[in-house]
Amino acid sequence: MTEPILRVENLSITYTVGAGEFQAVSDVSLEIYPGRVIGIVGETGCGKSTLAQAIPRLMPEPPASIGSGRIIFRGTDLVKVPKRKMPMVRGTGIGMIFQEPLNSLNPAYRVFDQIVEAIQIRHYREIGVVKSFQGGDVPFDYSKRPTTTVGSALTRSIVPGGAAEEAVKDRIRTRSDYRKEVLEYLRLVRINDPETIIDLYPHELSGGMRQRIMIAMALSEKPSLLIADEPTSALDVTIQAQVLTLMKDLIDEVHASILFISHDLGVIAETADEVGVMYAGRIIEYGPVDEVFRSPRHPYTKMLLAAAPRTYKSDGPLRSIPGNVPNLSRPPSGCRFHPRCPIARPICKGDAPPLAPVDPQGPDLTIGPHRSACYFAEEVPGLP
Amino acid sequence: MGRSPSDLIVFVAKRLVQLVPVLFGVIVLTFFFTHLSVGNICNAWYPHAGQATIRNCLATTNQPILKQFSTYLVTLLQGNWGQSQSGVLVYPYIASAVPATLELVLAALFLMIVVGIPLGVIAAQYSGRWGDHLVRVLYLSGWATPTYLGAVIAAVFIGPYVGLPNHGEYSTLSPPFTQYTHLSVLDALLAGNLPYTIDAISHLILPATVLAFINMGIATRMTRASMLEVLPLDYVRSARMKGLTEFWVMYKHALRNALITTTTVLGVTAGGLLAGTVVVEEVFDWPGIGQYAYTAIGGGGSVPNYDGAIAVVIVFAIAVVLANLIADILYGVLDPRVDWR
Amino acid sequence: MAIRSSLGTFWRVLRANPLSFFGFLLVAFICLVAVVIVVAPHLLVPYGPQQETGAFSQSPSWKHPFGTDANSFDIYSNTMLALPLDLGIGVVIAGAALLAGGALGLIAGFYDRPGTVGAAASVSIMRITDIFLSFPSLILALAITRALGVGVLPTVFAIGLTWWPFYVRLVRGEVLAVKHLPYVTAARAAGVREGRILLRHVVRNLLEPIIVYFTLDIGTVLVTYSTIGFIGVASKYPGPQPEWGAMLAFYQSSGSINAYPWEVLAPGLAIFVTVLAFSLLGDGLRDILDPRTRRAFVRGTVSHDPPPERAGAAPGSESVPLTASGAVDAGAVP
Repeated sequence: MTEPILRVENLSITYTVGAGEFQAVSDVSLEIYPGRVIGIVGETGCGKSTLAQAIPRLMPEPPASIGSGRIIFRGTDLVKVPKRKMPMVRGTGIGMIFQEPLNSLNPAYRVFDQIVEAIQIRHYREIGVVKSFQGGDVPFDYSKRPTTTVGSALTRSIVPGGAAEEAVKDRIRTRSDYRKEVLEYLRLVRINDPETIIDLYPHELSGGMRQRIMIAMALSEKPSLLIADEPTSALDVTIQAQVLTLMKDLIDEVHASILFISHDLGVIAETADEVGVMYAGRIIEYGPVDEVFRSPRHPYTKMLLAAAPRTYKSDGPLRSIPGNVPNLSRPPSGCRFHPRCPIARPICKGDAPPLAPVDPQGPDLTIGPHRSACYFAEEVPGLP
Repeated sequence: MGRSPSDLIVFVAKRLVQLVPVLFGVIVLTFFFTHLSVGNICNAWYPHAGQATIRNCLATTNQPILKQFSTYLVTLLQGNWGQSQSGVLVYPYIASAVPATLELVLAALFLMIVVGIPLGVIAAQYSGRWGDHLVRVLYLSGWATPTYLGAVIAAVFIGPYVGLPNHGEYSTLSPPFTQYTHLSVLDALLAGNLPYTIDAISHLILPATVLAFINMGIATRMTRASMLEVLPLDYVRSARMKGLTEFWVMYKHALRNALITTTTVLGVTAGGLLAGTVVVEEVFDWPGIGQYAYTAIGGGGSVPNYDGAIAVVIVFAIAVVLANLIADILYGVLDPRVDWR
Repeated sequence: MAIRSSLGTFWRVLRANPLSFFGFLLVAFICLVAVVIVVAPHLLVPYGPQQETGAFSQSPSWKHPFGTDANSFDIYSNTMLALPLDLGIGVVIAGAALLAGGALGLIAGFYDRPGTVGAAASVSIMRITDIFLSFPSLILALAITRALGVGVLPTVFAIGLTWWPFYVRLVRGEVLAVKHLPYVTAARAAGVREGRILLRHVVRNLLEPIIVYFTLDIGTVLVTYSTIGFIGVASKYPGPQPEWGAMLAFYQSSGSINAYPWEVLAPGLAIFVTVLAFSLLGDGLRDILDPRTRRAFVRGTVSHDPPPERAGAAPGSESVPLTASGAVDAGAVP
């Protein structure tokens, strides 16, 4: 069996604000295998974005700090990498698409300059002009990456950009070489008029267009792992659908390894292979998307699915989950969902339930079995 | 959106037109304020002058003030800016003194940019920590140093100690080449005279450093503030996520945007720099407008020169207005969101 | 209530910023010394301004901490006696400029409905202010002083004449920023009279930036006055009332500067320390009041606030709702 590209082990992240502190992410573990799309879903404030930003160590430290755990990216524990070496991992190693396309592009530079910068970073690392990341046990070698990464898949088959790149491999690239390559990436993200768009400033573009450019920029670095942090949430509904379609097409085309963060169950259902449901900083249910959404084994997931507007039928009121998201500076003991849970028992206030397989006797699926952090997981299907 | 070169001409032209009423206002204000005298204006300006001067003075000042003003305005526009008591014409003298002051101010501005702006970036980067405090003490020290104190200390104590000249533009009175531009360094360069170039630069260092040190606070403070505003923004995070090192994130992405707001203080800086030249040029014997202003005002017990003083005030105000114009145009060029039409 | 909460803010900043706390202590100390010199000079100042000590051009000693000059005047005493004048001038000019400029700024900021007399007045005020702001204050003040006649009072008047426009701009900017805030609009909609709105909301919001600017400004005025003194148009030295700029000019031109550097350094150090104290205090206070740095000051929320509206930025080509931008997970900071 292949090694996972990313393995997060028991990660906890603490924010210190003034005298108080709170754990935004508690004891989270997950694995991403080459070519797989892992979705993380949860309400605002559940820690999913903190998790996304912690993997490339992008969250501000302080106030945030990694309390415990490991982030093993292609054999190297990123928690132990000194901060000044992290840039070498970002971009070509781990790419990221952010939530706010409106402000994620630098207003002072044209589209061309911003994408070309990304291409150059990758290019210099590939030819070894810029020192590549050498930390940990397994050094990164950007020229010999597994074929399942976004990068090589792009070069070899899907994108004609690969051809343009091959053609100039042995000579110094000119501005027009770069321009050709940028145009190819703009076409890759389905921009209709790339010749015009390439010379525009971000403020002259719509939100959907900006997000496409952010995606092109991230892909142009051919990252081993792509993190998409709510890439569609800030967009208008119609544009949201377009960008989502684009993401889905790209996922199919490039066989990317992707961590997809969203609060939208529908988006996750359409894009991800596996899903982790987060609540109050913890992953409380994990498994193949179909299985988790069809037969959830945690009361929170069940109620979240019931509360999702798209399951709303005209024969009844829209459901909501009683109670509030807990204050993470004083989280409830044991299972953090117990104050709102319809089937909570005294044991739920004791130790936190582990994320355990819901069907120990079931077949051991390669993508990992369906797991739930509920002591009474078998009762969940019976809930109304 | 209009951002073509022809739009830029419109953009600049519009601002030039807007200058006209301001410049007129400057002349009006200067004229009437220099006539504020409680008693006899001629006695105020020519306290120890001979009867002939007083008589000349009274001949004009006995007219109604509006008549005086219109006469003054006409002669001013004709290029006749009057003369000093000893008969030196004001306009030719000021015109010849402009390059020296320009050179000094530009050198100081250059130092402020290459030192003051990176200091602001460092302060923002380490905001609230010792790096920030250190930068702050440095620029506040400049802020708290009166120009004359800085100039005297540099000229009398530092200059001789480090071996830098503190007197004039060159070591000799007249350099052996044609002075085309009257910018000391540039002229020496144009003549291909390396020793004189070095000589000119070494003469420039002390006065320019004093001016820059005293006025640097504005640039540093503004850079720090706009960097602090820019750093939490999403595109800085995107730049970091591209894999850029912190240096490029700071100087290529964050500072590029922070500079947009920093340019707006250029006008304010120009006022400070020009006011500084009055004392700095006097102390360093630099043959510019500042030194002329010092004498014309009657500084150091010299004979005051009404025509010269009023001209100098107007020239300085025009310079500030022009500096603001340049800052405004720079702002328009630096920020791609500004429409030039 | 307004004043108390402002003081609370200041106290928080002072505690958080060691430099401004040091500045605060220094300002308090300098003010105390100035008061003592006015009330009971003999406690701190052993000699009069032009009192001959009989010791000529002496080096610093216990008896004469900054030595004596060629006239056998005690330099320490002269330096100390200049403090109340220089400090007083700083406070008086900045205060007068604040009152005059502040009043004009309130008018210019408040009456901006087009077509009214008030708007016409506002426009005139701003035009005149713009013209004043074109002058380097020092130059204009020098010319006015010369026209009025050399001396302390003409100089004070001249600086005051050039100083008020800064406050017009400051106050007007703040008024314009405050008057369209939702709660002010709400108060207006609720029928609260304009005068009351002015007092309750606008003045309350003005208090903090003005106190900060005023603190910094005392130092700036002081430097300007002493520069005019140095040029020789304000105070005479030696004279009955010493002044730092004039003192420094006198000793600098006396030709013995290399032999007796303390003659120059004493007044120089005095003005440097005084202005630095006010600058440290004001600069630190400004951090929390400047909207640019205020957010960064409250550590821990740095990257999770919704992005602010950028000054001077043209609106985007598309108005995508920004609501989601604040919904980052860690936005739930308690």
